Amino acid sequence: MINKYTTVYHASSISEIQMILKNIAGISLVAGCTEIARRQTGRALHLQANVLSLAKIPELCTIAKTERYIEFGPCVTLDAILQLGKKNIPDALYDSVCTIANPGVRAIATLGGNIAAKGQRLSTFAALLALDTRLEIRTPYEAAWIPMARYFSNTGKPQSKDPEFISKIRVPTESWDISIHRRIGQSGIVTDRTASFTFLVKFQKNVLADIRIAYAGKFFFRKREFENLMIGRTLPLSEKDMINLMDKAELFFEKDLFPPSYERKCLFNLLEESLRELT
Amino acid sequence: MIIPFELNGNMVYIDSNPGERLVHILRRRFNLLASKEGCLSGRCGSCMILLDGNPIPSCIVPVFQIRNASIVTLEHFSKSDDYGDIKEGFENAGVSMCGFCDAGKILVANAIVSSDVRMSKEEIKAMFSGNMCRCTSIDDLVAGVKNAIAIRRKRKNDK
Amino acid sequence: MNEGDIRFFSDLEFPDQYHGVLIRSSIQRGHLVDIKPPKLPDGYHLYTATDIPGENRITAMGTSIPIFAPYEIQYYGEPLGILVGPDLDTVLELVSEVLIETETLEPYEFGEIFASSQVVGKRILISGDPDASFADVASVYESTSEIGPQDHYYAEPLGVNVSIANGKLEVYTATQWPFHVRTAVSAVLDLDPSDIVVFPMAIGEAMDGKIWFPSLLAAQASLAAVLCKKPVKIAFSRQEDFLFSVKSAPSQIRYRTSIASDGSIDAMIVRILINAGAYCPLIDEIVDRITTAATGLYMIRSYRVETYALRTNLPPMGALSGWGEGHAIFALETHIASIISQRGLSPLEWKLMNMAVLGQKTPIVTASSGNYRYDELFSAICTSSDYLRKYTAYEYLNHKRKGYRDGPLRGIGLACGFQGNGFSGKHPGTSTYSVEITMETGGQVHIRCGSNSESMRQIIRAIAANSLGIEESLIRFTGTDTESMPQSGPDTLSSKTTILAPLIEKCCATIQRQRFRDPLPITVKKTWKPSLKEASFMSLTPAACAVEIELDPATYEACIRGIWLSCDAGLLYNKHVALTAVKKAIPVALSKMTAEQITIRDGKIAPKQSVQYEVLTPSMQPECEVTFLESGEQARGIGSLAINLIPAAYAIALAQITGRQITGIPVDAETLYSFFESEATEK
Repeated sequence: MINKYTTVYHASSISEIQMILKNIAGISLVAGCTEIARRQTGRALHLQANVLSLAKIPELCTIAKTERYIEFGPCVTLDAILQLGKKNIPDALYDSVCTIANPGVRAIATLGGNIAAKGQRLSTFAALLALDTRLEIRTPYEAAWIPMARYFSNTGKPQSKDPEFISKIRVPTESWDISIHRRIGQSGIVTDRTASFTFLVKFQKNVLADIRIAYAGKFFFRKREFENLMIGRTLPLSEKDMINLMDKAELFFEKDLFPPSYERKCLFNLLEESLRELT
Repeated sequence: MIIPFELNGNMVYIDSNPGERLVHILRRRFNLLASKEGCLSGRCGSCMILLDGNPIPSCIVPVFQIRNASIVTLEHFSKSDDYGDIKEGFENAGVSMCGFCDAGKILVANAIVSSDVRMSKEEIKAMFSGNMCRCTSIDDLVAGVKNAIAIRRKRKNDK
Repeated sequence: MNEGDIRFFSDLEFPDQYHGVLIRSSIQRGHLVDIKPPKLPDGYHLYTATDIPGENRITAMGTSIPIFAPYEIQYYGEPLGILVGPDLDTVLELVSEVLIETETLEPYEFGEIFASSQVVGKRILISGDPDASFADVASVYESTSEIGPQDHYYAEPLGVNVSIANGKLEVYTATQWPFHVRTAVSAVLDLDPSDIVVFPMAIGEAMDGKIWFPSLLAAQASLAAVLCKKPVKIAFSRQEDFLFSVKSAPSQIRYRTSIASDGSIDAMIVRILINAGAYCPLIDEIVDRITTAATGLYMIRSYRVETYALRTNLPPMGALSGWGEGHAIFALETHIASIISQRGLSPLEWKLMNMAVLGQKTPIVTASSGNYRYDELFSAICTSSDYLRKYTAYEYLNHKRKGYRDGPLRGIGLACGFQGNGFSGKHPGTSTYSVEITMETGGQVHIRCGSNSESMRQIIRAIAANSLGIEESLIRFTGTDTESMPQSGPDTLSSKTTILAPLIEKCCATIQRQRFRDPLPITVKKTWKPSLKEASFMSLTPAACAVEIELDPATYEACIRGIWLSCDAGLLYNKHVALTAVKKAIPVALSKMTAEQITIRDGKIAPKQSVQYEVLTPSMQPECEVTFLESGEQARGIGSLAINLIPAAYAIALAQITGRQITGIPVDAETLYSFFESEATEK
């Protein structure tokens, strides 16, 4: 049933957001609202009692590119990201956005909303995680840059004492020799099975210089210790290397958190398929 | 809450619960019926409108989001020459239209036709991934769009 | 017609419009004890079974369905009453405050063991003594297929708007059967049918989900309109439509087949169970068609087909673009493919060897017809898809595979079947169709045929213009409501193509004979009634289909490399329209086969994987090729061919990859994963 008592606040700048957060406890931040709409089937959309709309705040809709990274405001729409063109953003990010919903929804859904969705991790999460994305997190009092891998948690993020929001998303734009992004589950709709996998590799001469592997679905994984096992290895990998790495992967992706299942099998299949690119 | 916005070129104000879906506002308050209530999940395209120039499914937009935005419905768009190009292109391709999801097909087609980017058949099909038309085949839709591109190019050249 | 013009019932809003929302049961089976509404403001009313002046039921093809359950509750969400008022949000709020007191009973379940009281439809076909042939155990093959319930994801959710004008009750709804709406409302309100006018609104592609259900809604809304003396509109949201409207009846089909040493089918025993839900007005027709289709077009020395439709406590069940033969074709073709595979035979050779030919009698093929040209249909498929080479290559690859990742995972499936045309409705008054054409003195032609379909009107215009030698611009369609249109049965099962179009031709031929000797205007009316009481189909459209698939080894998702379909559709009035009719059903077929899943828990329906019901959009249609054989036969229906055949061909292609028969619809990546996992475990 529609909440008749929703109060919507509009801010026009980051400082206004901070002031509202300071003054109204428990306020809910919204942008495109596509995630809210996706989970509801009622005639009207049920909103929280207090809602702060971020969608049109200019400071949150900017895109700035430097030599080493591209910075998105959290309210940049997914369509705006695609409009930049594949040449101007990391392939993995572009490929992940292409699989989301449909063009109409992408024109209002935002990158921040996609990252911050509660429960199941959505489509850009794995790509951004693999790219070592950093988030500018603001509270009413301060701002700090935090790696995405540290900001989110599988076991429930500890409640920070102050309300906070993502004010910038900084994505490194280094080029990768191999960039694989795969979606598990039907494109265009989010189901229980939906997940994403990203695999990035950089090599220098015949040495594996950097590797990133990320998975995001009901929970997310990025195991630097596992990645470090491979960095510095001579390429191509041998069949024996492959078998050893796949055995080690079993240990890193804990069975108690990620029990044997279709999703786990897909992750390992994708991992094996991607590592074979190095053989 | 009071929400001001531009509707089909005119400034309007409504007093509404913020969570009401835009499609219902358009239909019930303004009697703009070309946007239909189909899936209520942004997947079928029956409720498509132009929000600040972009084709958007109005069923997933809570009305508070359109504050100071520009909304154009199919009724208004259908008075334009651009609409004529799409209609003619679809008719020439034999696209069947029962009318229910016209808004989605026509506004998406116009977005493709208006785009500077030359699209392949697969890319055009992908643009219709938010349209659930049961009356026509996707091949006819693609053919209709290609016709419309040629018609618009000719119209603009003739000017 | 301008954009935004009123064509759909959901666009209609009368002055002083009232909105109706149904009060629904919260239990699956039991008894209604009491309904306690909150205090209703002025202008808001609640009506229940006790308010019905006429019969508290609509009757469709021998099945009665209560308008509002008076005492016995048969499914979760069954309507118990209607609350109406001027503001929809207020009505919704009041409905949420209604308290319903019930007594719960154990529901009827769907399964192999059932009480005779559960049987609502039954048909048995026997030829010879099939049991005697099963002595040789080695040649017996068994499989059981299960097809789940699926939703008719039509564009506009169900609804109705009823007003009282000019002393008559005017009913506006999207329905495939306007005259049934009139009959239903007349019986419920105890009104003369002449006091009721039904205006069939634009319907789009109904997928057979709007045959009788709109009549139920019309009766509910009409009752409220008459009692509160206001126009009443019921408009389902997508969610309400999904939860409570008709679903395609789930089925379980078990085959037991004995193969002779020469590879022919010695005997076949088929047992079909259909879940008819709480009510299934179409059940006689569904049972008839699925039983007849169960042995396909194969020659079988002896067979027994037993079909039982079982009443359960689920929402009403019905047809889905085709009335059961699609289920039978899926189960039969996958079963046959499994036999062929186990015996190491060539699918094409085996099919050609075992298809019925002219003069041979099967439940479908009579002695007087039956040259269904399957050799030509297969030839067309094999040429366009390169089936023979691919099948052999994929068989070789899959058998020689050393491991899961050893080479691409590909398969190609070949299926044959048909679409059964014409609604031969066994119940009186259900399947009469009429057409009336008048040629005026000025040369204009007015056609009254009860068809709203724009594509059909294109065809009818072309037929009339061609027959009468006039411009299409002189042709008008009149008779857009039940007062002015000729009586007709439901618009389903290609009645337009197989019945209306020939009637139009006959009318035009008669006018053409008369017009130069008799004065204008001339009016000719032709009526069609079913003449073959025992036949399940008026005609068949034979078809063959191939689907080629590559499985993603990482995610087990099937990528379709191509779909090829060939059919003998008889005379094509308009080739483009025919092609569109086949092609637009292809994404629907794929969606049914791969994506659409419903779970049922405690009698409640829900999408399996998500909040929203997962449906593939037409943009996901892969490359496909459709071939129509040149034919002088009368026009045949083609709208359900893809839905009838593609699931079977798809499943057979997957079976070639996985080495296992696919026995369920839908089949998803997780199911395929489980096949490979169990295979790995066994090794």
